Amino acid sequence: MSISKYTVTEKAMQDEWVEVQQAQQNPAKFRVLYNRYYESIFRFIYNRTVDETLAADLTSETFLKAMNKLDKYVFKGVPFSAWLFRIASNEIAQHFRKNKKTRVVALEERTTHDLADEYDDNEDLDINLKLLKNVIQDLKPSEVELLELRFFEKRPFKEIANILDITENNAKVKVYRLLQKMKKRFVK
Amino acid sequence: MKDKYNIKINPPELSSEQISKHQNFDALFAQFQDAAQTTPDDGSLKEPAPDNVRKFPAWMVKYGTGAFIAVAASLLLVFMLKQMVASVEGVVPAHQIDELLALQAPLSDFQLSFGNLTVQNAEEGETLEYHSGSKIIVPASAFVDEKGLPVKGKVDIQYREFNDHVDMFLAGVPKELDKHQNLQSVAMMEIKGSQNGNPVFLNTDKTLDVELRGKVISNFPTNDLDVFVYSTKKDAWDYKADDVVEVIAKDQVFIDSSSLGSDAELLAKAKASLASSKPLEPIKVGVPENMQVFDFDINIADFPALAKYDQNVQFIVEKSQVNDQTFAPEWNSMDMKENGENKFLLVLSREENGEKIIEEFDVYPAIIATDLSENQYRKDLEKYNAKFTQWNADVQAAVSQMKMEFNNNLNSGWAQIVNKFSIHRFGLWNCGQKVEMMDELQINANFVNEYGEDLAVDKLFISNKNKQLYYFSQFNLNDQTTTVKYHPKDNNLIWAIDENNQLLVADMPNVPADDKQFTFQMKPAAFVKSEEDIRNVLTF
Repeated sequence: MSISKYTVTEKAMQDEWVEVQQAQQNPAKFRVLYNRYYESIFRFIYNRTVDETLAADLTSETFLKAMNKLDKYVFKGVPFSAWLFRIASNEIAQHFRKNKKTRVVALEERTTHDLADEYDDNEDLDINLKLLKNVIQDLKPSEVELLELRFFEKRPFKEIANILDITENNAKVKVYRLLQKMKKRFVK
Repeated sequence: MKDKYNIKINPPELSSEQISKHQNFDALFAQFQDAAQTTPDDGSLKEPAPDNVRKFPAWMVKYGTGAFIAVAASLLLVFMLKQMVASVEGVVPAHQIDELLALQAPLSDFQLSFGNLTVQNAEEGETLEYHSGSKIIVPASAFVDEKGLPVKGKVDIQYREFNDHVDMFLAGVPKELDKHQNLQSVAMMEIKGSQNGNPVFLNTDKTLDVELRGKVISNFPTNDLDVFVYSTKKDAWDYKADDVVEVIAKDQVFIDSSSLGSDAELLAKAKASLASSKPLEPIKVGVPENMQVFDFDINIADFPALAKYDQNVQFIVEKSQVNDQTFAPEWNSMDMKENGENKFLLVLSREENGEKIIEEFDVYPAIIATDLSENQYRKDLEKYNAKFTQWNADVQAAVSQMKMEFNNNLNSGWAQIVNKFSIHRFGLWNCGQKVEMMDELQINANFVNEYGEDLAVDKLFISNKNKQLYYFSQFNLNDQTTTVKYHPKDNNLIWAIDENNQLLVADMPNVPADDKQFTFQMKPAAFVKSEEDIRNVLTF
């Protein structure tokens, strides 16, 4: 899975806001934003569907929706990509709901090691793939989303906060609570 | 039990090349253009569509561009003929046609119904009166049809008023956060006209005079209200004119909800109002150990509270307040005044080396101890205790009375008003004022169900009673936390609709004003079977 390269500076965000405003005036200028974020949105969706064709369809839907709603977009000091990720997340949720399918969670073996690194007292814990699968089954969708963003995709807290439209501190608190909740199940 | 998630271990990774195969902005752009159907007049959409994207309607492909030119020419001819007719007989109300409104009720099963009024003869005009008391004065020849031709005979008017947030919610009034959130409403109406089921419009040189009944919080100034009309095209409220407001009835003066005061403040207020009836504690007999008699010459008769004790009263002072030096010098003057219940302030003054020296003492009356006086004190104390108990009960009753009056005022603190203005087209009209919603009112809100679990809401509605504000915010269904602007100290109601179209009502949190992180517990509204049920659930 991809590792986020989230280093958006204030100037970059301002420059991008200019591009968004240009696209609001002339939708053809959305091309630059589309090209910039296509791969990251595609991967975001693929990680939650594990289906290349479906990911391509939902990515198209995401960008089409973004174009249709672009006139309503207002810059709130966060990268434009956060808005796209939120639309993508909504599209994924809608897809599973509409088709009455079970939400897909992509899990890599290495995640167990990454998770173990999060606990100082990990020698007392048994984090294996089988157990992690069981633990995930008991999590709420919002908690799975956090798990995906933070531990599967390795996104920084700032980016998670922007995607979830919460404060960075709140993102940290939520992740901490999630780790504590999961830890109870990992104790040997 | 079925798994909640379909967990896939070590899914195949995709390379950038694999992903870029799907990347095709031109196809997306063509799809966007198809959906938009129209191209802006400025010709700003210059991006060419790719060959593999259908750009023309199927019939055009089949019959070729020649057919297209023929059809276009016919349409142009019809349009020119229409324009010629219109220029002779009337002006096409194109702007009004563009602004035809159809509000979308959020709960499709429950709609705020229209009232039906009738103009019997459009050529003569008529004054229509709604059951609320509102009037619409229709002048002669006020209506035209979609071609701009005068409408004669009977015209049906569909009319409804929005008296509160429940009416606005039921009808789907567009006051969306970030767009219409700051528009207060003291009266709102929607009006449209038709003849034989076809819409009619207002003649461009006619207006309807409206006297719209509404209500405003009693202490709210009515001389600065405006009239707005909702523009469907712009999805915004346009300012149209100053609202001329006539107050026709006023309830008791409204008391701001924060002005009730704390229980301690109410108690102090009640005690002050009943101070004159408070019984006096009898003066104690004898001199306690920590006190000593302060012997000075004073006329007891000058103090009504002491007069009944005749000359059997003496004054005592705390031993710590006095010493030998207090009594050694000769004091030139002495003054004493009451300083609380059974307490006096004694002021002594003298001159020493040209300087005036003043000393003050708290002194207390005490009855000279005898068998007789002690017996009397016991009897007086018994009477006093009975009276004091009753007085305390009176104070508590006064506190309850103040609370009850306050609540009565809260519930009835409205002024009934008539908003007078003219309208130049049918649609949705609002009387009110723009209310500043500062950024500092922004809070982070998250929503939980009765079990404390995160909840995704689709649309969140807020009604602020103090400011007569109603607005809503639409969210992504996946968002568990979002930002809204909210006056936490005001009397608010928050409710929502979830993805299953279920009505949820928030338990309003009692939080400090500087807290920016709010958790709203949303409970499903039970027994919502009718408009009346919704009204009961959302009335506060």
